[in-house]
Amino acid sequence: MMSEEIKEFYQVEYIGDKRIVKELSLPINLNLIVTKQCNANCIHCCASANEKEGAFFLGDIKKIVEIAKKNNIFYFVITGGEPFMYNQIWKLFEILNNKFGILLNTNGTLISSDIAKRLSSYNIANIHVSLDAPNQKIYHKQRGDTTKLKEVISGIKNLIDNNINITAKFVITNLNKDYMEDTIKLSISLEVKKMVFAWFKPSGRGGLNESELAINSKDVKKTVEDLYNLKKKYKNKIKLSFDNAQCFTFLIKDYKKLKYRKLCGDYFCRIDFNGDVFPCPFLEIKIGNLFKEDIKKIWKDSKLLSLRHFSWGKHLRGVCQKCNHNHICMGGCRARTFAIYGNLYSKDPLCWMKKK
Amino acid sequence: MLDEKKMIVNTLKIRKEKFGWIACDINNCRVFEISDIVAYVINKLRFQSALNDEFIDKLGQQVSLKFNINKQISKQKIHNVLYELKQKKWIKNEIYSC
Repeated sequence: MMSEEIKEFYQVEYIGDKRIVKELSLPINLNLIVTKQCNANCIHCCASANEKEGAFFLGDIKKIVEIAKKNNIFYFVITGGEPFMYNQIWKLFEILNNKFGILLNTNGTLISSDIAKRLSSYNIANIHVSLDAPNQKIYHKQRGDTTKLKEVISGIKNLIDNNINITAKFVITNLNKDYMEDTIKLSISLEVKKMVFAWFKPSGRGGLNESELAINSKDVKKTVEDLYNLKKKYKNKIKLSFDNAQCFTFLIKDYKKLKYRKLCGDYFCRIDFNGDVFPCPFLEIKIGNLFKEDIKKIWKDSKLLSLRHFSWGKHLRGVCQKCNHNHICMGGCRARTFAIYGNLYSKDPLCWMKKK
Repeated sequence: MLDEKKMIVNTLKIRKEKFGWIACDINNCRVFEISDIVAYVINKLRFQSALNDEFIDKLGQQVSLKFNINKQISKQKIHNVLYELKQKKWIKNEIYSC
């Protein structure tokens, strides 16, 4: 059996010869991009914030909440843009509070002590705060000059002072890949207990800046190794995990017994302002409309979501088709593949494997 | 103590899937599979406006009958459902966390 350490790091589950991803009749989370407005200007933003106008009408959110209630959806993920730029954010918390789990993604720069105090009166399961640079220079390169790292730090402190669960989120790009340890140290100094790392994905504005941001496949392997070593080094101080488990097979001896936790279309979907449904925040392929179709039908009938069943090379092309590891990574991130190659079946551009 | 348990039940959400029941506590980000018995007990506790010893006792009998358990499920066992849920003893796989 794989070690607890590896399981936790990659968020994979040991399940013998059964697939960990159970087929659900409905998503667990609905991911709402509540506004496209943002006070930062991140060059990797998958939502292309500030380039397009738009925000959810509260009435439409209420409709979605009714659908979620009826279908027993567990959580809402509130994201943007920057959720605290959404002028109905507190009304939204009122609507969701104690009825659903609330998860929030924020850049943290707008969280004053008053806002943190107000947030503490709601049952918020977890707040992901973007923290992917240890100093202003790197922060500025990745997130633009309209916000500052010291504002993020202040936001994190305010949340922690008010006993709100937070996770620091580090998006790994070519600009910050050498600063993971320094950022971990910064998180520890702020008393952050959990940090999650995710690869940059070339969607939205990130797609336009792909050449500057994307890590080459050789560096991917080194980055995974570095992160794994950092996890061991700081295991008594902070919990580190990796959101994208692909490209790790070389680390797992017992890999034939494993399947990695795949999220796209397995557990959540993204809902846009007009009710359009997408399999994840990064894949721009519409699979239905929540205001026009039954969510169960969208979830069950979507051809794209049926990809969740693809594995073992059945649909994958190229190197992945016969790769010995494809039952673990399932080809990696389909959004990244789609953004780079324009199809869903080629190999993940981050994979360094050349032959089976 | 019963009030405290009622509050715990109120933050649990459960639903039936083809492969069985899943549950989450909306105060954290973890989703688990739970057994039919645990799902039954949670549902009963949820729809009871106030918990009292008499109700818990009756529930023990109902669980025994419904799930063909020869021995009556003790009051303590029902009390323990939520505790054990937290301790993962009645929980099967964790299927999702964030």
